[in-house]
Amino acid sequence: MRDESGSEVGDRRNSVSEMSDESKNANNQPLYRQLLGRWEAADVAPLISLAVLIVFFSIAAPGFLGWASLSLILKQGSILLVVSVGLTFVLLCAEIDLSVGMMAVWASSLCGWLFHYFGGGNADTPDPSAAAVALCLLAPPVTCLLLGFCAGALTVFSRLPSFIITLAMMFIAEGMALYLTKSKKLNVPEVLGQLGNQGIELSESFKIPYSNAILAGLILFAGHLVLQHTRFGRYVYMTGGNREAARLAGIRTGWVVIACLAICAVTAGLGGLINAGRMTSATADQNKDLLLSAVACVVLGGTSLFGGHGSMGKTLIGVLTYTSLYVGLLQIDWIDDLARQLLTGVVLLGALVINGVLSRQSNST
Amino acid sequence: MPTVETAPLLECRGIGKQFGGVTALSGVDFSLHAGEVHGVVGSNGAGKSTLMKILAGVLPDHAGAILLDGQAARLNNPQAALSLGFSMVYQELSGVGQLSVAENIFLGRQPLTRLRTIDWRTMRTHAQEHLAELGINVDVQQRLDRYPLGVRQMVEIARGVHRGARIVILDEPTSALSPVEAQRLFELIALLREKGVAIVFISHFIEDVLAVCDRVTVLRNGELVETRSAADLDKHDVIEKMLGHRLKESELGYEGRVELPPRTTEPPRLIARAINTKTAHKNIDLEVAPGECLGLYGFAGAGHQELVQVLAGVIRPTMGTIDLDQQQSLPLGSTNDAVRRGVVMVPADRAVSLFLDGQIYQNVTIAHLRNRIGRWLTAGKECKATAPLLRRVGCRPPDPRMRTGALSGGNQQKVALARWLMGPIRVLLLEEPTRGMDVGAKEEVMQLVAELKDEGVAVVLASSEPELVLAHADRILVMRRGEIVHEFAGQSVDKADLMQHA
Repeated sequence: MRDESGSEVGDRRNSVSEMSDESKNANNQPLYRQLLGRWEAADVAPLISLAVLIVFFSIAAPGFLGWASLSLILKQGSILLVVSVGLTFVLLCAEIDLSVGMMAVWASSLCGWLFHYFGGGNADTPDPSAAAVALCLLAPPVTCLLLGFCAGALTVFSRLPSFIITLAMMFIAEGMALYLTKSKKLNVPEVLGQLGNQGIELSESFKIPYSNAILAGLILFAGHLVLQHTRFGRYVYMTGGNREAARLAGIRTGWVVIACLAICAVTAGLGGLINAGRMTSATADQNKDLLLSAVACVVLGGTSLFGGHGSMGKTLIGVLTYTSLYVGLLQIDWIDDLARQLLTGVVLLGALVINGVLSRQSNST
Repeated sequence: MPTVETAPLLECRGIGKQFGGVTALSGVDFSLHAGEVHGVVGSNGAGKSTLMKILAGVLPDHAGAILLDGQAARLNNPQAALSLGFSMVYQELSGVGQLSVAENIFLGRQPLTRLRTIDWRTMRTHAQEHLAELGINVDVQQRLDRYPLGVRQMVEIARGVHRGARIVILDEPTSALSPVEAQRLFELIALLREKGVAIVFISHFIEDVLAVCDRVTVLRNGELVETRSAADLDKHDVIEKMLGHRLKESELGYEGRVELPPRTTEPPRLIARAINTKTAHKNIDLEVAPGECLGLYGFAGAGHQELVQVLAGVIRPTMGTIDLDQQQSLPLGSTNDAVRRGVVMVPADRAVSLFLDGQIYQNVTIAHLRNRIGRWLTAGKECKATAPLLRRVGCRPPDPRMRTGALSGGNQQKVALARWLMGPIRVLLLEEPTRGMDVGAKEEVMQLVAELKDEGVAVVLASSEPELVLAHADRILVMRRGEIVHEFAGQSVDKADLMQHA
């Protein structure tokens, strides 16, 4: 009875807003509403946070609007973006993956280990074969896929929250990485180094600039197409939005969850490889804060932790916001180095709370 | 029975409420005397929930005046309403199931010992005495969720009275109760009436309203139609006032006897054998033929609703077989297999069957994306596929891009039906398909079901509403405690027959 009357109210509200949208009636709606049109406040809030940050930094740090910081944002952001794409799938179906950081460590460690033993990463054989490099690059994502599949299958089978299963998976991935690398620093194939830094060299004279950002963009775009235009994408939204309803509609929600966790593990692995390339080596202490940064990015963009709401576009905005904040704080020289972490936290908190409040308002009024 | 001379306990004058320019209530006068049971009826959208929310302090921003004992009262928030003596008992109860009955009675007001710890002994004895006074005999130390819904509801009422409520508002109190439980509730209401508690009784069940209320207020489209003594009204009058026009006999539901058609000779489409479940069912056998509507009737908790879920693959039975067209056996406990073979269910609760935050077209196309939309989904293609179905089911408004949750309950159920219309249906399973809907929407939904039946769909209709089963079923199985206890086929049957066997 109560929910019915609620929807009755919602019905009226909706029809009213539709009428005024269509007739563009200027009298009974405030200006910002007309400007927003069909957009809800919650959809725009992340964009506003991003704009505010950029304006603030361009005033506080004169060099911020230059090419150098944009380049830094693209390089920093591309790793986060790749990882966040997979995490978006997981959050959309109302699960969480805590293993992304360590999955990245595992991928880079495996890559380094394979390169060391089979690809000639040690000084004796300086010129590795193409097949060996391919092995170094392909084996890590494949193992991540398997690990993600296992995490998903166990989550579905045991009916435990994915929080717990992926927490265990986090330790497993980290443990394997430590075992493999023996905490040593390992070299990675040169192509990864090019990808992460100056750009992939196609010939002596031509390099693709920002190849990691381009790769991240492609992955993001692929993720967007999958989410918006394939059956699987729709099933992800349905599974996250109302799992029981999805099941009643005949969707095998278990497989959707497994697939999302597997996708997330793969993108985490790719993120780890790109990061190793940027550092031109793989060590077990890379990507320590990747998990929390990625979760912050996705949520900052406006994707719900409870499933069903969000998109790749939002994730992109989240990543840009987070990276701008990081890069911008680095460029304000009167801030004490030791205070940057604290400031990052405070600004993130502010942005998240504002986004959260706005989205609640647009849902309830 | 209150008289006109006594001053009313509560008086509302010219209550109005608008939601964003749309009037939900306007100029409604409502009065309530101490010791009165006052029924409020109206179709969905008539404004009864809005009126009750205003009394519960949820909607402080309304027009009109509320006088309590002749003094203007400000109901600015639920706490204010509570402290002024309003107690709201919602359909979905708000008691805490994990706590004991006694703790629920004292929720938020636990008695303390001198050491500021909870005084369990006092809490127990007081709760026990208070409940006994109201004729509710339960062990107050048991967890609340171990008791059936009827008892939980009475405990909830008792809690309100215990904290000093003078006005108890009951929202659809009888919709999930068996007749025995409803009778006990009516006894409790009578007891409260003697104690001078005023009761507002909101319900779709007009018989219940007429049986228990002193006066009845009818609302229509946010306006007051009339407040009259219940003794001067019968069900026909009330429905007529609710709808604003006289009903055809057929729309009233079946009061009298129904002639069931002779048993069909068609070979059955779905055969279930020896179904057993963990919860209740013992060796259930049933079959349903194409073009036949099989009614499953029982009181709430008889297991007929769960049986439908077993057939749809929602609940996995511990034993049994389900055969489709006598050859394919359906994998048990898999909605995916059931849906792919056209065995589909429409459950009572739209919050369970629909993604309410999603757009309508997303809910309609979700089960048949592969066949009807293809590999590449676009909103345009999906809306195009959805629009004719929305028109067919009579969804208002028929806008595929609207948020599903913004529709009224009846229209949401039409969306749930439209989803299955997108593909072939072999067996349509209905679990209380019209719960909480107004008469008009009910009729439209069941009309659609009848059309599908005529097209050769096998229909299974599980309901605790005898009128619904009588009006639509060709054959009726009566269930009690997880077993089929009687079958009516090819004979004349009425409500009393059904209830007698249940």
